[in-house]
Amino acid sequence: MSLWVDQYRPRTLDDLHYHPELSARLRSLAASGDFPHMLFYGPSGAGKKTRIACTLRELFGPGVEKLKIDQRVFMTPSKRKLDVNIVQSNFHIEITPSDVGIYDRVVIQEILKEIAQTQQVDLSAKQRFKVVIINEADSLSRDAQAALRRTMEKYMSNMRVILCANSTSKLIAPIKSRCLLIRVAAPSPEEMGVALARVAKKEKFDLPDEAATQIVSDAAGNLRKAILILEALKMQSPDLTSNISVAKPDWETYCIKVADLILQEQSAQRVMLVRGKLYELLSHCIPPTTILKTIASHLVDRVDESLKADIMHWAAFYEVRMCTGSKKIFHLEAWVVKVMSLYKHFFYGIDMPDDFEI
Amino acid sequence: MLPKSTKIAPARPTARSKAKAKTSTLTFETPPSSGSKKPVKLLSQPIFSLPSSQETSREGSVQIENRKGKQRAQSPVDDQLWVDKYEPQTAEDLAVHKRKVEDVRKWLGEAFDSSPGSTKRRKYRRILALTGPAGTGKTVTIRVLAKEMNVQVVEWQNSVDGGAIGDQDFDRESFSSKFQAFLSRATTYSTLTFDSPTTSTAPPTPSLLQPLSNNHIILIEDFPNVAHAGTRDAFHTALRSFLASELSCPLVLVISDAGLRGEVADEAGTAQGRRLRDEVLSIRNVVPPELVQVGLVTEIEFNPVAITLLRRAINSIVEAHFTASNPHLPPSKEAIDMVVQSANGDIRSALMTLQFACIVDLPGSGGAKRGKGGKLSKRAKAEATRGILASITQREQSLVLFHLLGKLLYNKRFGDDPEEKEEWPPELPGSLPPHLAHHERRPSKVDPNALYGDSPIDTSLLSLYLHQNYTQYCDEMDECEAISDWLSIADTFGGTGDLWPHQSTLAPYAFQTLTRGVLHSLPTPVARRNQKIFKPEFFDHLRKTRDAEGVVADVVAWIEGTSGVRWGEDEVSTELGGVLKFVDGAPRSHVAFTHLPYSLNPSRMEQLDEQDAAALGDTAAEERPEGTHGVGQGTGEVQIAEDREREWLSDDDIGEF
Amino acid sequence: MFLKPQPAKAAAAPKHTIDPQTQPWVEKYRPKTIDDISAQEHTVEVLRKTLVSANLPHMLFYGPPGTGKTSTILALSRQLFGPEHFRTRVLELNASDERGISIVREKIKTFARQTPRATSGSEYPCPPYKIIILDEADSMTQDAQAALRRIMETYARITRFCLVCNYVTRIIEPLASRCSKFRFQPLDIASTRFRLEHIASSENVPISPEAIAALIATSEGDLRRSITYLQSAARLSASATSPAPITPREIQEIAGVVPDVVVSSFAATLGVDMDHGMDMDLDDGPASKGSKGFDHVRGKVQEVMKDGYSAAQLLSQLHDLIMLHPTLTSRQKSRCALILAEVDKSLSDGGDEELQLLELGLRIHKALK
Repeated sequence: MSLWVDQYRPRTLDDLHYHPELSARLRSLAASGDFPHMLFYGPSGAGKKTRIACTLRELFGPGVEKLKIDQRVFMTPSKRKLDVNIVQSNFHIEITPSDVGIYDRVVIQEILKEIAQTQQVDLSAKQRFKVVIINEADSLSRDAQAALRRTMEKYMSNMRVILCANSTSKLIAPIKSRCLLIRVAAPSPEEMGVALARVAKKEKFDLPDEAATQIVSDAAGNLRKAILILEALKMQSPDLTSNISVAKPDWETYCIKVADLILQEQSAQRVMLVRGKLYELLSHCIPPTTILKTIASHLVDRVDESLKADIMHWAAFYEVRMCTGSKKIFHLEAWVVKVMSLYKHFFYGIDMPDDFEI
Repeated sequence: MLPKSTKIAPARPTARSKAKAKTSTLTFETPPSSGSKKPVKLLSQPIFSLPSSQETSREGSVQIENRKGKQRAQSPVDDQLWVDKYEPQTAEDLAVHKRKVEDVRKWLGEAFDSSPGSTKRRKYRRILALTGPAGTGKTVTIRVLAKEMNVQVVEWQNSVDGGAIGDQDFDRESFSSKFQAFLSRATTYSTLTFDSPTTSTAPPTPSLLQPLSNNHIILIEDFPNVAHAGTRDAFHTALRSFLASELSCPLVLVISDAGLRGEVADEAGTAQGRRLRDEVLSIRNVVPPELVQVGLVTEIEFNPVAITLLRRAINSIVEAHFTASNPHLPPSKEAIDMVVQSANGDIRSALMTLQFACIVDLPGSGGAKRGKGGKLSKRAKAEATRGILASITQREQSLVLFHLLGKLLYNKRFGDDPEEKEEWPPELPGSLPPHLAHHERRPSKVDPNALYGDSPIDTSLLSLYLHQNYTQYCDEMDECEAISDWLSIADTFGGTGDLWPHQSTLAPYAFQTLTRGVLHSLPTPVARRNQKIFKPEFFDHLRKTRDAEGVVADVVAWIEGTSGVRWGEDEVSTELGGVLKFVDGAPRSHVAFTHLPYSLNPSRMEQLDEQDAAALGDTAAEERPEGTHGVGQGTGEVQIAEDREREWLSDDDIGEF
Repeated sequence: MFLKPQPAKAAAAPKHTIDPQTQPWVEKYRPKTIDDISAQEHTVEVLRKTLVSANLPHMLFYGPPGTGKTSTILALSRQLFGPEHFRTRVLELNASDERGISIVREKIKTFARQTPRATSGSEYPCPPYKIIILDEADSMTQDAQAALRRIMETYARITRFCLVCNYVTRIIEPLASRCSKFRFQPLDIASTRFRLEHIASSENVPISPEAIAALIATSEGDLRRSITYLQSAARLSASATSPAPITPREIQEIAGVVPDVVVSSFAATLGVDMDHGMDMDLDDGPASKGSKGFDHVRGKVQEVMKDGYSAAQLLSQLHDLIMLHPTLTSRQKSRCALILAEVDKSLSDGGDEELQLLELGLRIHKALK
């Protein structure tokens, strides 16, 4: 049994109910015979992957849904063997850079070359080219991006690349300028409501408005998250009357409690306690940036207006430290301690030197 | 400081005795008849390896553990290593906590228990993994218990015959076949070979198998290269097929921890680190994780040898060695204490140190031949002994680390004590301008440059220790704030951020920034609250994170398998928490990242001191894994362990050392 | 290598497998002679002389992307050797080729040491040396550059090097000093417009002057980028069911540029006075300063992020808007500039986009209060 999100994922461009102008554009591009390299970008859960899958179907027909998973072996320059699972159909191949880590350049070059050099054997295929989808393209190393740039030009005749990324910021300009940029914005609350109702209808239950509103506002534009919450809520409380907090992942509630800890007491002992909690969150694979942002957003909802900007400022500050450093806990903790200190000083009315006045 | 002569002295005897040790091995390995034409080759021949499936050499290929006995019988007393010479013979001799020995004995007993009602349990007594730091008596426990139960130990060793090295494909192929062959032979043929040589070439008959499997233990200490994915898979396959086979003896894996390294922490934070996680030898990659989860593999963790046990063991060996007939005089009590303290819970290291220390004639020992020796004060003697020991052992880390941390965290400055008559160093001209006045400090007694030279660990690991402990030494939030910020800054100087792989150019500054920053931020003098130094929890959580990452990857693969959609790891770990428990067929292990109950209990911490964890005394050190003796912190009270028989270094010692 | 069989005369060559329809216009309309190079008069002037004298120094071309550096050297080589000898006399290597020290030692050296055969009867000057073009030379490692230096000296008689890079400072000094340096200026609007209109008319693309202006504005003097955008836009408009002329908004979407309305509404939220001099209908109206400041800015940031706009892009557009703002004081502008710079650094260090945008918003909001 698969998740509702995957089970009821729209399969064709016609099934997609939001961003109709975007769907129309993709449809006409697929029909035009002059299909460019593309870069889909937009926030998490806006439906980029779904849209790519629909576009592929538009290009190649239902055959593209017949997937096989191949295990492939690549040889790195240091003669290490690298086993990679690769999902592909007769018409496309999918790569996720995080699967291959620091060797992404080698793997991507190999795969692209191979695809480009093999002609489409299926004579009934609608297109002469194959498509290479690169997921999480913003995590591609610079090396890999540089390599990609020439390859994209070189093998234009029988290969197209579709990149999928949350943001274009981490992609080098030459890649961006070689792709047609497709921005997939998050669906509006109404559009999300429609999507939820559609899932409910297929699962044959009624979705009360209050539950829908709650879910939509909690998911903040992330449709995947909304549907996941809906599924969890339905399982927890079949009549959908419970508060949606029961359906949320543990770590979110946990973060709220950590925010409480920070505001209740500011002391060295409390730092140790919070540290333990942060460690717990990290060892449950919650990305440190997510931890930081979640705790911060709960904090600013609860403190005086004059502290809010400072808390966010330091959150941004230590988040960058996290990217440049390696021990995430140090920076998370430094931020927590900073917030505690700010809060304590605020409480005792001591003026802090204004750290970010210029 | 030591006189020069004593410092140089240990080098020569050490070298000589090493050479001696080698020769002794040689003589014993080489059969007298074959001559000494190719001694090197003979030496490198593995003792219990299976030559790559050569049928002819089967008799010699699997040998019963009887080397130790032979050695004792043949070698002259003096050129043996004490480690081998005084290897424990009975369970009473073991310097391992009784409960651990009991655990292992119970497990082995259950494994060999063939009574009708135990069949089900025996299924779960097939593979035992002993883990723990080096020199904690893992292997010897098995040997002793095997002897006690009258079963034989069959050991696997990697073959090192030349051709295979460097040729991956060949190595990999030959490995899996060899290892498989070893497992099957060890369970079927071995006793045939030794009990009844005449039938050794005959094909095994099923009727023979039943009784034979009951008196062997297969021991694997020398693991194949599990960092190589292919070899690891082959090894895992071999283990699984071992479990699947009907009749065989228990398999014991002895896995020594690689130890703490700061770079591990650095790598951990980076993208590369995630991929490197498979490359360190640990139970996670030696044994297929699912086997551990379902209990098919039992793990028993050995702790560093407790200090009392260590001392008792050493004393009894000294007694045995320095009998009346021995021309040398035994080492003094102080010397033994030093050895015990610097051993870090590693009994093998302690014995090595002691053996060489006795060759040198420590100044503290009764046999000091230099005329001045007797006149040295007790303290000076201790100093000299410590110096010598420092030069012959590299395991004194924890001692130095303890003092390094003490120096930093106690932040001593001139004028801390108004009574003190010490001369202040010359002051810098002028004082800080008003807007920087809050940075004014009295001159520090700590010299970071000197510390840098002495530091036994890299900056990265040092920062983890400081991070773990700094809060106890702060009075105010502001101090915590400053220190945590310095830690954060120094971390960005460190090794390998995701973004700038060449940050290492900054690395030399990390130590200076870190230590000076911490010294600048701490209060002075630091209030004494009976603070204890704890080991970083970091690695523990890192291990958990690695496990959870593995589970996330499983879930990603599961979704991809069922629906063909590739989810990102972060999407799975942050968004699936609510749903996963209701979905049929999802990997059950998902709780590793979805289940996060909130409790106010502070996390457990492990204490560091001169003897490392060993210091807590037998009971506490051994029971910690059960979770009952966690050292309470976080809620503000620092547990004071009263009933401890070891001596804390007083704070003054820290200052002066 | 894709570049070598050049379209100009190689069009007849059967080896040329690129479908002309899908061929990037950047290649299709690459200048054939150095006289076709847009807007680099001084450089072209000097190079034209080398054509006559057939003597060429080692060269270092540097300047921002899309200013014709590669085009110039390719055109020059072609004019020197003609299509016949181009392939044997010119070696082009770029960053996507492996260019570590071993390649420098082997591939480059092997090519550099070959003595070119004498040619006769060619209509081209065909001077007795070869040219090695190192595109994107600033991405070569220091070691590789150092190794190059010996090779340059040893084979100077028979081989000329042309290093092409964006940042001359990343070329090690010993290398740079061996080359005559040519700086390429960002293209002026008139030449860009001329070039774009030329391509648009050859490809029969219906495009309005406003859209051309938008192309020029979004590509910031990078001709390559503007041609690529033009091709994408042409593709889109051609594939649409009812072909419509390209609009400036489409160009912006293709280029990933944040629409002006979004930028100005974001700026207004931060307290930048957007009513002055600009008659725009803003959905938020003037920023409400005061107690609701934080939530207001935060809401706006979340909105922008949900729409998927790139923070780095918004940052650079906001920068232009603030710096050119008619009523902000110099002091305010300089404060903002510092904030913008810091946030830009954080973003390129990998900082979270939402946090950084919020940081930017809150600080500018404060600085302008």
